[in-house]
Amino acid sequence: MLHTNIVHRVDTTAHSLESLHYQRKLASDLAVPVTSLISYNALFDKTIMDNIRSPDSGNSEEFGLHFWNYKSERFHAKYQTREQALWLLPRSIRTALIDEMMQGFHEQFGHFPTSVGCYIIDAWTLSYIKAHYPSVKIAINSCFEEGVKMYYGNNRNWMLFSDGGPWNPYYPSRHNAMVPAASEDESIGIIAVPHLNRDMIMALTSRDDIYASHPGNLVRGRLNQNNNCPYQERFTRAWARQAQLNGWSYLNIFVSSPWLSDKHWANQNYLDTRDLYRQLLVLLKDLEADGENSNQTMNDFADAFPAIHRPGDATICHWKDELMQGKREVLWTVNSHYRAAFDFNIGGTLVDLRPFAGRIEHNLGPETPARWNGNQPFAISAEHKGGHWNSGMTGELQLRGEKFSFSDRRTRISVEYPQKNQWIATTEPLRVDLAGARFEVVSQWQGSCDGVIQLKRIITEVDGVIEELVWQESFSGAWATSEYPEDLRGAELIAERWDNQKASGIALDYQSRTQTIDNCRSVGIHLPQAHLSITLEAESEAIGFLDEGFLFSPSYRFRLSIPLTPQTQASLWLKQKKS
Amino acid sequence: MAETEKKLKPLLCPACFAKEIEPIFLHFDPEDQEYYCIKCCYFAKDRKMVDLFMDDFVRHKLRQW
Repeated sequence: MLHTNIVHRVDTTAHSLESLHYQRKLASDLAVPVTSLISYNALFDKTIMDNIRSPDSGNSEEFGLHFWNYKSERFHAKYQTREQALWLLPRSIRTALIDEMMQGFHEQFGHFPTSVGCYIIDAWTLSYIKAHYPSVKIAINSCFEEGVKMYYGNNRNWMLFSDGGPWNPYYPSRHNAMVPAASEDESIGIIAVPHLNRDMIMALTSRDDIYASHPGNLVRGRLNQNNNCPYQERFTRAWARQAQLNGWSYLNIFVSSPWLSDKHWANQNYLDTRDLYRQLLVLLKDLEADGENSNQTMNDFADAFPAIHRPGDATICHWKDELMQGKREVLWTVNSHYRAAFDFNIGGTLVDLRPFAGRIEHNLGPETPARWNGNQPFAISAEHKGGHWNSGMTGELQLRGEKFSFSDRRTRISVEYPQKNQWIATTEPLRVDLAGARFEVVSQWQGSCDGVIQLKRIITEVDGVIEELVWQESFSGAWATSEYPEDLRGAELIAERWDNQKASGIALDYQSRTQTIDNCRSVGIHLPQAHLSITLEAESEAIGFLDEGFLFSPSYRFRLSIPLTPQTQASLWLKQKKS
Repeated sequence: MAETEKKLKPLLCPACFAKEIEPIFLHFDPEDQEYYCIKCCYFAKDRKMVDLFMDDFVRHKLRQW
């Protein structure tokens, strides 16, 4: 079942209110429950609040608070700052603003809200809200993969960095709101939902605000022709299909009213944008009638969520190319230990890896080391580091001096979710012609709710001699939050042998040193920056390689070479552990 | 197949203009008989389509702009 939240924001300008009236009337006419989040300036405007509290009809409408759009003379006079993002405010002002809005809400409705939202809300702020306003159950707290590329996409004027977190609802950790809690104890006690759903391929390769559950942004990207945008329906149905994997799926539609106004710069014809919005709501009603969707308020979703997802659970997203309708497929997975993305356009290369296992404290604002940088560090990001050659995990087959790289072949996958917290992705067989031999190879990834991903390569349909066929899997990594490198000194490439003799390892210092380890059990990296280790572990004797980077190529690499004969299949395990 | 790929690798993607230095090239999918970019979502069934796109859009129209 898809769970959909349709969210409005109550702002103050005349054109916003006119559009909001359209949104509320439409929702009412279609009998779609909505959550209307009230911004600071609207909350303290008597005319607007009187109007809002008299619904357009008896439709189910929940009210909450949105901590954006507070800029005003009132705010400036009271708090003496021009800082415009809640998550970047000094903490004393941040809490005072939250308190003022909560009291204002209470005066209007006689109770505190259950639902709040902003583009980013960090762990410290969510914890403050939960401690002082325990009625709050659910928060919109991040914009999936709005970070480096969004910064460029918005001409370096949009200081909103929230790369690296989950796309699905989850329970934020007390240590870091972008990290899913592993347990009830670690959870803040507020359910986090994303600000919009994104196209999960474009989230990897492009800015993803345009390719989102937001008709105004589809128009901004000129993905429409007048009021016709087939991509919107494909996108929405793709999210409904995700429920077949996880047992549930979630869709957040948050179109703030200016996007539906004739004053908005992105609109060619605002009536077309409104019609696309209407078509989206009608589609969601149809999906509901078919039993595939449940339109809910945020409060209702917060009540339903604990029955379908608990702290520590894993979820996946198998996304196909809904934009171009080509063969490209990606697989995303997230649990409390990591978030990973595999790109099957390049044979299932691991193209993005955000390790969470180290549980680094991460908050924002002037009192914190991160200040404005909400991006979660990556161990792998092919996009930010110039391709999977520099940053990615992929394999190759070697036979009699010839090589076959999995990343050179596009492939499709089938994905199973045989039981809760277990996923298996299997490629279609790839035909390989190598050193005079012909065979097929199938690759399979398996994950769960721990910090381990198993990767298996299986050789079948052999025609010719494949003795000495070797599989080499290679992990090229870095540690950063953007395209610019971070200092890797302090990190150490490590290895273990089956005979338990210690391999010396390489303490990273940009000297391009290499090391080969016979009888190798595992290779990896110890990253004190992240309080964790990442390793590749073999199931039997392998050859390990450690490759230190250098300043022109400031990354590192570890590799495992595994014989694929005579058993014609082998596994290895990618493990992330706190250390 | 390997020979075919070698010949095609110097093609840049006509949609995202991925640069040579990156080495991001247009690949060929032998299963689906299709050219595809490994960076963006561009694909084309026919080599002529790729060339046409390059000639018509990139070489002529971009110059006019």
